[in-house]
Amino acid sequence: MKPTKVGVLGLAVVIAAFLVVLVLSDGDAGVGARSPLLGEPAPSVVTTSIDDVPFELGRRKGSWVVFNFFNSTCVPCIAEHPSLLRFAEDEANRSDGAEVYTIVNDDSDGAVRAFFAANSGDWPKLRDADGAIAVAFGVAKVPETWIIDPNGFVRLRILGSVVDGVLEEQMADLRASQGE
Amino acid sequence: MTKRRLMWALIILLSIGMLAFGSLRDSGPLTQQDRIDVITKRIACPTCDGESVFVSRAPSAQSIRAEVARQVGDGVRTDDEIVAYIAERFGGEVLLLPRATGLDALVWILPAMVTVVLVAALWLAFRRWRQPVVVATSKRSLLVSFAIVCVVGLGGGVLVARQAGQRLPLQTATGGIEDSTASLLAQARLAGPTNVTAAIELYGRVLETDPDNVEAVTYRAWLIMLSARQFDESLRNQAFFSTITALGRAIELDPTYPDAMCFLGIVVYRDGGDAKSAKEFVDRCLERDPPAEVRGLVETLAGELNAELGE
Amino acid sequence: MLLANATAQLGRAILLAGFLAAFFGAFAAAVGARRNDARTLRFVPQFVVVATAMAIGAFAVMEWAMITRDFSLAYVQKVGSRSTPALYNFAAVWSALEGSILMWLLILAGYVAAAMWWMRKRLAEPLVGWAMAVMLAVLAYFFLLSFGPANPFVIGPPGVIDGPGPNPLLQNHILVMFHPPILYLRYVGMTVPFAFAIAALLAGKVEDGWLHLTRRWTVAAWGFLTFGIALGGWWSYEVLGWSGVWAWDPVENASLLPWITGTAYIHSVMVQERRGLLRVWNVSLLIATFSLTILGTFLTRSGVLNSVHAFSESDIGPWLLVMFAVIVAVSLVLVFLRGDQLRASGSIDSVFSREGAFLVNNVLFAIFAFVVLLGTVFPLVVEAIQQRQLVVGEPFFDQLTIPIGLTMLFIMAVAPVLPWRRDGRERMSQRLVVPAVVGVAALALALIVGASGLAPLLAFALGGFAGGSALQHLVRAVRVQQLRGFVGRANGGMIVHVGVILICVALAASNSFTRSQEIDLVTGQVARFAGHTFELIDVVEEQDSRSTSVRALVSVDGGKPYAPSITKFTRIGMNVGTPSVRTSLTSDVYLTLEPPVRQDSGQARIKVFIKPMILWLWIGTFIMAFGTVLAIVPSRRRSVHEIRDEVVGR
Repeated sequence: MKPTKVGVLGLAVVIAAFLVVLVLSDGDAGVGARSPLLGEPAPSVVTTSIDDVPFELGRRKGSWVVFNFFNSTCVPCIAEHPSLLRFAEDEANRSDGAEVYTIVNDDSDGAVRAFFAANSGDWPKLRDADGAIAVAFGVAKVPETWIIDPNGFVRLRILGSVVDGVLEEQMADLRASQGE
Repeated sequence: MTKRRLMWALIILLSIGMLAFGSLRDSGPLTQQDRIDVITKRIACPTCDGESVFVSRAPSAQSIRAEVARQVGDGVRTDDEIVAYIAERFGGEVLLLPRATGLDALVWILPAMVTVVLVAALWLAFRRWRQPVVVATSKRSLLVSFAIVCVVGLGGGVLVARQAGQRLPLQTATGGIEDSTASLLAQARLAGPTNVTAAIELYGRVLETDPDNVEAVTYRAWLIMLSARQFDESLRNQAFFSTITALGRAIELDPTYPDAMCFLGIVVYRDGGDAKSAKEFVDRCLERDPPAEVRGLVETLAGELNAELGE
Repeated sequence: MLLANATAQLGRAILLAGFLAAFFGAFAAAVGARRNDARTLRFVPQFVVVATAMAIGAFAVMEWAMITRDFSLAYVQKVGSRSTPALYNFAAVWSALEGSILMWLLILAGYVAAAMWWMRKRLAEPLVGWAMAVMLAVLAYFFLLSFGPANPFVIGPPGVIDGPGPNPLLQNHILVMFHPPILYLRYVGMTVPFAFAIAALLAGKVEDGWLHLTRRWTVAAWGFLTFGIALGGWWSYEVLGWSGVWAWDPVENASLLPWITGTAYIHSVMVQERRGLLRVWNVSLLIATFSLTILGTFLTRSGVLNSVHAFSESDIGPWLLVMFAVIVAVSLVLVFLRGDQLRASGSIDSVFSREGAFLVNNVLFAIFAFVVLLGTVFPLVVEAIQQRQLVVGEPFFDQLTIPIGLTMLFIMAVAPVLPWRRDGRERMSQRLVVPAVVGVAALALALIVGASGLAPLLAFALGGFAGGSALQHLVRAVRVQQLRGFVGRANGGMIVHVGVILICVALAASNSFTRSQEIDLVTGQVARFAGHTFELIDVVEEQDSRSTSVRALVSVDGGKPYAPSITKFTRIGMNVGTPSVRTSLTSDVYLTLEPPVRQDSGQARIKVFIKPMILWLWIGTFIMAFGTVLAIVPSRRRSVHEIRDEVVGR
């Protein structure tokens, strides 16, 4: 009878469409991850480093700023540390070098200090009480690396550990586009 | 018979009355914790499979709960605004209730449509069964009635979506996410090198609402000095003095702010000709770890000063 | 090592043999059924026996490897551990994908064998032949999955001597470890009725003996399913620490969907029994239930829910999706072509009859299933089309399922009173008076206790209405049949309804009237909230080889201390919070320990939830289970002839 056949046909069409959509969906790759903050002024960050030196992001306008959200027990964070070190050294040698900061995510000062003592890295490590900075940037999982331009705008977000050379490459691209 | 009808009428009336009373009854003020719970139930944990921040025990969920608790405690923002704040950081994907616009609205509309269609089909089936000898309905009238049913379903669905869906302003304004001071500063900074007048005006606007904003005070003064250099001497002098005063005030407001000290050193030398004071200021400026751009300006100056002072 | 290799090779060989047995068995059964060739059909049991033996063998080999801590296998490296207690280690086999497929195989083979034994006298019939063919085909596919993409016998990297053990969340409670087998008992159980539904379409007929078979089987599977869902809810409450019972997350929804269509079938099949109607509905519901089982497994196992793109990269995702697609395609084609042949003459006379109510019920459950399915699947579609993530969460489901639930309560109240074949409006107005009064009384009671809000009040009122109706039915039955008034399908069903009503009302109460508060406690000070007092007695730290845990001992209302805790599993780096609950008939006091916790500070931050009527959820579940058991007991002694006639299909 008609209604059943219509119903069956309708169901068939819907399910076929669902399957087709699922199968044909294509992922997009790329280093930078999406964020509603890209191209926007960075959220205000006012905190202290683990050595009790005050820090305010707004005061750093005029420099490129790199934030690395970090936790001393997170395996990918530990894995990416050498790449980060290399990057920081390169930048320190430039006159317009980027300032690198570690944002401590859900970790104790002592553990962070111990890690950096063992693995070197002499840039400031900033406290994040209650994860407020992480929430302000929309960071849910570490590691994440953010690049903010000298005008205070968010330019890049990298999810997961930074592969060797990626940061240098991205900084070069960003500097070139900034110079225009 | 009528006794039973009366009985039913009484039952129905009583029920409606009690329901009306109950639904309008005030359940008491929501505590802060209740408010936090309600808000966190609307936000999804970013690292989980669709769990709400209220449910999830993941660390990211805890941070968001802490943030929501902070904002509820401040008492400044409404529930919708707090949810929007979180969504503007993490993206629309943390909203647990799909919005009522665009593709998302389908998730509200489809159930309503399906319900209407199925109920209509049921009604049709029952009618056909009750009257086995039915006038052969023409194909056209069947199609028409089907179309009407779909439209009704669609309308119902849109209504449900409107009423139930998230009504949040999710467009991130181009002016920036923070309050207008930050966005004005950002715009001024962008305008700075190329459009000095516009930048000066923007910094001025910041100072209208926030006269002690160190960045605005410093940069406005600096840009005024820069733009004054192309004019005649009297104007330049005027600019010089106002700039010095302003920069001095900035330093008073925040002694650790490097830019003000640096610009003071530059201006004192370039426009005031006083190398010795300039050197002092420049040294103090470098102590304060200025950002790269400013440091670049100052280091060239430092070289010149050293040469002039013969060190 | 030669020995390890031997284990893996043995396992794989067994799986291959099983696949071949099932595949050729299916082939033989199909050919035999098509040609109505009794001889071929009588061969099928040999294939079934071999396949079943292989499934048991493969599972045994895996367990052997796990028990002997054979870390040369990659799977044992993944979930085995020297420090896991023996029972948890045994259960660790099914704690990850490959092992759980082995368990699925084991249970499916068991069911196929059981079905074959049940039907052993009728194996020569084409209907049964087709059913065996379908069952063996499904079995073959799972063997293939286990031999191929979900291979549990992969050799892992050498030199590993210990592993992390199963997920710590699963080690909290013994029942949790055994949840997957119970889950599979009901998931996999639906294969048999499904096979018979397809067989009915293929054979072009469904004598009502078919009904008798499938109904018993489906009710049993449904029973396990209900128990599994309730168990999941209980676990969520007692272990996960967010104080809720049901979060509408995709994994939960995946198990709920077959339950919804299964429940619809159990009711709708009664119409087929009495009047032979709604056959296409019933066949479709059986097919839908099984398909949703496969779809659910696909959704939860393929990683597609984390990201649409993850699924095509996962090994097993595409295979499961193909299976789902094939099942649906074949079923739809069959229903389209053969549906008319099944249709019986006759029609439903009135919407106010029992048949009418069941048809309305079917539609209602179809809408319910659609809403849950849409909400679960919608994020995938949006992500595939617009490349952005979307979450459809608890508020969506709550908003849409509340009206559905209320309508269900209403139908539960009205349907038992309706007569078969006749317009029952007169009877309705006669017999529903007392239940309606109960409903009004329930509403008044709720108002007195302080409830407010339209949805919860309606839930209380309709709950009273439905409860009154069910109890009224029971009272009548007992009056007529004394103790036998409690057993049998109708009466047992009423008891199940009472359980369902209790659950609905308890859910309404706890969802609407929960109160919570985070409290900072200092040792020795007493805090007050919602009429209870809380005093922190001590903060205790414990350590063992696998974990460190911090417990806060809190005395509630001056009574014995309850100890919510946070446990850090050192090897995995995972923090797991465990709540502590004080239960009573009226409400639960639910405590969790909130991070950060400093052990020596004498301080603790706890979150208190006062959740009304939670205990009634579990009471309702037990009543449902009890009612299900009673429903299976026959309601009156039937003569041998009656049973024979029914099975043969007169």
